Amino acid sequence: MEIIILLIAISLTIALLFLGAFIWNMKSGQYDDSYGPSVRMLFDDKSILKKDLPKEDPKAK
Amino acid sequence: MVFDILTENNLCEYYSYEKTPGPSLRFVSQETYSFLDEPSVKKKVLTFDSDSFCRIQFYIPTIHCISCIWLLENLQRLKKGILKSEVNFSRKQVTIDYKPSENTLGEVARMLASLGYPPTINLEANSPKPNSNHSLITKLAIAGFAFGNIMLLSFPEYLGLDGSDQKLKVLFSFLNFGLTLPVIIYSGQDYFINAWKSFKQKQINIDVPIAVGLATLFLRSSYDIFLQTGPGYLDSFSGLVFFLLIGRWFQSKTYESLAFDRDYKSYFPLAIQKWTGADWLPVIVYELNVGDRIKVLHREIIPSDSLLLSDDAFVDYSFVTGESKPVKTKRNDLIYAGGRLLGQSVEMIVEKKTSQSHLTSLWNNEIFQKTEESKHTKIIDQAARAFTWAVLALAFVTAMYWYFFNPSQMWLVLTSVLMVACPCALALAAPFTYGNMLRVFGKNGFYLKNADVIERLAKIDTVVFDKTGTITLGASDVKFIGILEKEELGWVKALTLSSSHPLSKLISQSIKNHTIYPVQNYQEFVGKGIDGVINVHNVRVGSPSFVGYFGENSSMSTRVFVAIDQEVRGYFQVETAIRSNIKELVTLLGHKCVALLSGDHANEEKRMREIFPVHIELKFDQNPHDKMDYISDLQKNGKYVAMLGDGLNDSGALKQSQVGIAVTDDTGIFTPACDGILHGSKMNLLNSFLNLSKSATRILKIAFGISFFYNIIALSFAVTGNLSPLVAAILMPMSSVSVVGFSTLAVSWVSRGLVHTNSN
Repeated sequence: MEIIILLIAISLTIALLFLGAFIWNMKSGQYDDSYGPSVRMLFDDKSILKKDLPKEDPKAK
Repeated sequence: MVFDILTENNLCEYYSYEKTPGPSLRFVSQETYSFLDEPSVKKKVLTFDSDSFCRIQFYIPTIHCISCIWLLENLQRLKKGILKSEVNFSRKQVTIDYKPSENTLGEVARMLASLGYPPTINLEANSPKPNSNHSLITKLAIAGFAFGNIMLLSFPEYLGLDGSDQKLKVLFSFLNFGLTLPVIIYSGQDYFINAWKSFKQKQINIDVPIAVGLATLFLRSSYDIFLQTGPGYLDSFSGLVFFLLIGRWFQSKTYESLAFDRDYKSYFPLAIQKWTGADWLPVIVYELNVGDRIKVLHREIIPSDSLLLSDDAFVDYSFVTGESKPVKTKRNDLIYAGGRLLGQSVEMIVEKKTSQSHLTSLWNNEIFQKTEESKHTKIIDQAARAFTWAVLALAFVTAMYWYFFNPSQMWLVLTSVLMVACPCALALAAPFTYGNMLRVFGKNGFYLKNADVIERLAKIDTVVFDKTGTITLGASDVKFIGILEKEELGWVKALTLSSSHPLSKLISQSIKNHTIYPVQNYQEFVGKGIDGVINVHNVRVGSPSFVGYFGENSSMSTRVFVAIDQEVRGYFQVETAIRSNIKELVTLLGHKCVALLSGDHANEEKRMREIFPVHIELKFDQNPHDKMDYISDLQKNGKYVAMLGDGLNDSGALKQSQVGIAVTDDTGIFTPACDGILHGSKMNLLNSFLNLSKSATRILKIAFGISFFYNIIALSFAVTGNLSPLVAAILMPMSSVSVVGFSTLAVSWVSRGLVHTNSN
């Protein structure tokens, strides 16, 4: 049964590591904006050159 | 034009992300935001400052879509010297790193404004706030961690360890004790602090019985563990803290989307151009002195009562008086603080210091100092008070009984009673019921300041309306009466586009013609009209005498005349449009709706009568104080009043009423001091909102009932001395889960109807 004590020590250490990781993540601001990153990954770097565009755009403001 | 800036820089993708991106471009003059370059102001707003690198955090209320994020994060492609920009969507903030050698702070702000994202700068809003959410989540994480591990370590005890495992038993209980320490010291500290505070104020709120319960649980468990008389109730203890913190976290999540902490000062200009004898320099408005010469620009708010030095000026006093038409003032007239200048920039001499002036004195009215809490006892506190006294009485009676029959058991039973009486489920009922209701309201365009407002809404029996901006739309209905060719209409649009007068703006908006004509010899005659040459034709738009019309003109509504080549062609009739859903709302409200208060003249009485039946009082020419007095009179007669208004000019009334609701069409921009914001298009749902608030209060009471029911079961174990750690560990989480489940389901069930009427 002594082995249980070792197992509990290991499991608690691992759990504490995860707790620490979570708090670290949060302090570094990973959970501050839950919407931004989900759309940011969809933006790609392609750019349309000016000459390819139609002259008049109805959305022009 | 935003479009031009974007195409020049190959950023046209912007339009592919969302169909209606961005608000429209605003006119930004060189002077706007120049106060940001003042060292004293700059020091206050920058989050990081060095010679090669600066960081600024702007609050931009207009951030609302994917395209906004995309554009704002590509600022470095629009302007040299900007290193990096990052948007926090949920907080509507953008953090910009820039090189001070290539850009000044004012330039950065001006660029944002010219893209249609004017940053809101307010010294109070920019002061860094402690991030309370982070510490709450840390507390929650620690409590959850301890709860899970303690449960795991308690299982062997419940399942039955035999005598040979005595060593393990002791080890487990000491491990549990160790895990509990951070929970009581860190995670649960707020409950003890709050309880102590309310104890000092001689008031009992929900935190008092919670703190008593938690403390008893902890002390009794420690006693059991150290004297090895039992395993303790530490799993129940950490579970309780965990559930309570979940309730708090849910509440803060609900409030996060509603940034209500702005007050009227955010409407005040931060700085103003002051003549220093050699040059115009921006100064902070609170540093203005009597006799200072200041320059106010188009659309700026006049910071203090001043004498006009320029020939004439148009001032929009709708913030102060509610009158929507701009007032014309002449040289040496006194202009009151709070008016918004329209048209040309003017110079004036300060007459009163900002802090003592007209608007501030209105706002410093005692009403604004009164805290909401003092006039309303929350249901939860009433329940907590009754509960605490009942538990104390029960504990006393039980202790007496055991003292006489079995004194050795007295302390055991007494602590058991105090432990299970911990009203955890009671504390969860309110945040979940009201929190879910707030979400339902939010989805339907009704944003409330906090949960207490729902409680007050449930009691409302009287509704009072403001007219301008509430009943009538901010934008107006413009009709042209007369003869104009399509091409000629385009000329008028081109001409009115050049002017910043509100009427010109309304007219140019009403003409749907996309051909742009160049305007030559453009001239603006303040107070008269505008004049210009388009396609070799002279076009004049303005007052009758300006265009040369001397015929009959007796209408009460505003008319703007048009003449082409000195020939009068007709006029634009500008009328304020009435919201289409008002009539439905008034019918639904029935006798709850009692009055309409308007700052305007009575010329629209007939039109208003068509909407409001005879039992409703129509009052015109009301200034903000009249409105406030009217509401306090109603309250003296025992009425519970909800006021629907549009902004600052009736903020006094909004505050005076039990529930002040601001009606607006743009929730992103307009957040005056009020209890809730209602989207203009959802006004017809107001009656449903009132009914739903009543349901929410009813659901809360039933949830209280469920929580009491569990407490009674647990107490029956406790008073008979049969409360084992296992019973506590089962009953306590179960009561919390069932209360949360019930209130969540019940709220979504009663609000089904709302979603239904909405989709019809």
